[in-house]
Amino acid sequence: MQQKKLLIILSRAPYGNAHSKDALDIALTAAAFEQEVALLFCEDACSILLNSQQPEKTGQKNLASICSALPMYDIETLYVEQRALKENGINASDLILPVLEVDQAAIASLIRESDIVLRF
Amino acid sequence: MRTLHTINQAPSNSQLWSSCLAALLPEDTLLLIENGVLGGTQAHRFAAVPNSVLIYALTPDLQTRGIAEQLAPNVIAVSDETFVQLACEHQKVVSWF
Repeated sequence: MQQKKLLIILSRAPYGNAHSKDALDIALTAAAFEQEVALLFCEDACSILLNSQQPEKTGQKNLASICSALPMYDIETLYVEQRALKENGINASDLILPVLEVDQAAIASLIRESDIVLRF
Repeated sequence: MRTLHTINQAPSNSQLWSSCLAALLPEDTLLLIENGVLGGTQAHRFAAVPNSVLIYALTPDLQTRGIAEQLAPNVIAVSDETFVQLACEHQKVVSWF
């Protein structure tokens, strides 16, 4: 199978709807098929990576633990929108995995360089 | 690689609009669809968009909302057929929703 560069952009807050879970499922599936996957967390989605989340309190599946499996699937490139971190008062050190902080211009280049872009 | 960006939400969804507009690079194309066409009457929205980015709005969606005549001068009304053609002409489509 031809390898493509897939960029998955997560923009919605976790746990209110299925978007984040769907996006992560697609990322893991594509990586299992040896596609080159990068994830970008922006807007309300950067909280998906927070160490401190306890979704079991409302009976939901922990998205951070799904995220912690990403490196096992060779998904090493995690981008986070700088502005979103700042607006939500999140430090990169509060996150479950190491991330690269990107600004709007870098996001535009990421989109241009990818073969497929899916936004959730 | 040239990208076709489609946006289907009204400009009141300002975070989505600002993320979408910031992602436009020269030679990209922006197509307003569904409630996204509501932004098509507001020329100032596109002030910071690179000159080489063409901005389109889907005619049936404009007509549905009764704003086909109020379209801003920098926005071009297009048919469903042109939507298909645009999707074919670009290497990829990014859907802002």
